Amino acid sequence: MIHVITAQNRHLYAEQLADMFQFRRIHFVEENGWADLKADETGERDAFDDEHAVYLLGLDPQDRIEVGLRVRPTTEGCILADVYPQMVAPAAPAVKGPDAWEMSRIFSTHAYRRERRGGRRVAEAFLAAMETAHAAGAARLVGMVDMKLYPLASNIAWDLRLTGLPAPYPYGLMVGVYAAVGAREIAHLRESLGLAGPAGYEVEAEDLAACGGFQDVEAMFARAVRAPHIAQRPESAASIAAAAAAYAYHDGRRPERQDASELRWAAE
Amino acid sequence: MSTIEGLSWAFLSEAPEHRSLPVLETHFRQTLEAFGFDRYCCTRLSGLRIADTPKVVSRHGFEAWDRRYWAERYIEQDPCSRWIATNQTGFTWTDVRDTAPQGAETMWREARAEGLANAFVVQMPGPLSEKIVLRMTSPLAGFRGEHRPLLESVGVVFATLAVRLHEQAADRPGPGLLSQRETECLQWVGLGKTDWEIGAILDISPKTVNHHVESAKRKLDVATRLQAVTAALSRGLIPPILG
Repeated sequence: MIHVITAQNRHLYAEQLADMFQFRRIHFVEENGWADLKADETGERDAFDDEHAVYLLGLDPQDRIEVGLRVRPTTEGCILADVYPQMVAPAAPAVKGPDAWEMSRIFSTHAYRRERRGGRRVAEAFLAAMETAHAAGAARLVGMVDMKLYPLASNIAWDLRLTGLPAPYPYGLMVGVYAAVGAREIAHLRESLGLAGPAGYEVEAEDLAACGGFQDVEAMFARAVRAPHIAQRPESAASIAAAAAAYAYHDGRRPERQDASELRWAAE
Repeated sequence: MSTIEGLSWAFLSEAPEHRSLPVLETHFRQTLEAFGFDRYCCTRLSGLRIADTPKVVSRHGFEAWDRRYWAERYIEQDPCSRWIATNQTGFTWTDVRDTAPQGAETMWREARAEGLANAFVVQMPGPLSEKIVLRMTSPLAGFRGEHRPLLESVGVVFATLAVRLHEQAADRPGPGLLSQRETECLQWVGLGKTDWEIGAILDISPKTVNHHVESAKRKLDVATRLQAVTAALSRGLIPPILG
């Protein structure tokens, strides 16, 4: 599961977001050498880290970040169109507008790369980006990638295209890219990742109250998106009760007791 | 847009549509000519030791030089190997000349006699954690610096797509409707493996796995992987799946 962090649930991720800005400083400023980025002891941030930014984070079993990226609606500002318009050819699809969301600040941590698990988790994050953009009505994701990373980025089961000719920047060659976002493209990438349902989920406070911590929510999410023809097993009763608790919270009902296995529900 | 920019953009935008390696190679050669380059060799390198023989993905006009290069063990003097190991950007033979050992001059003199006066070398990570190296050579010693970004990008896109199409072309017909790779990939899909896991098992990239599975779906006229496995099982195209 990829955690979808919006302006509405950011307060649940204070620790992870603080770590994310630090990882961005390590990855982009210290490792990649992008000295023109704004970074201080709290991490790396730019003008696009605002209320419109949606952060997509993959966490490990200890709730530590493994991979992360940022997506934003381009109607609220677009790095590619506003800062690097020379990388968009006249014939390219529109990179700014209501049907385009932009990905940026894609990173993976040292710990994740040390485990040599390949690009699968990053691909999950891209899938969550597609789902987020699609849910908002977008038809494409746009972004920029260093040409030396183009082979890895295009190795995912999506159709990644260039927006225009690449341009040198102080640290190499950068090129604008885009990928179509639609139900078909999302289903295709899900299948390649072996996922029966969405990759991303926007955790709410009620989820944590019902399930416990992030890992408990992830476990419930995994059960919920699994194919429906699960054989009933004795251990599934507790998970069904936990799922019922989560849905009840969403419906605005609150339990009379705290024990999830003996919940009685009262309408508010 | 200049002519060379126009040709580069035509390649960068059209190359992902090419479905066969020969078509991609023809388009790439035409684009290379605009830069004054006439030969190339694209290889997959699993290591940078002398014993690590590279696997050729695609080449044109390079066969005779390659034979001489490996027969004379020029890799032992070739400064390009060190640059590939320590740099990530494209470079020319001119760039590495200052750091070359003495024996490299013999190598370059013989290369010039073969019509290879200069080379532009680009490298990139491969889908199986190896390096992909593309050497593009020219009969002219000079190379206009302002064209480097374009040639590097054209080279990276070509090499990326060539590796993929080369993997796909390595497939063989199967006994029935599905090819050998399509059958293998569907079997592993039936066992719950993802493209990444199947790629690691079969030593091909996840994108190539995806290509074979999608091809199998089209042949079986189904919409999902689950339907493809079911259809293949019912038609006896893959053996029963044992858990």
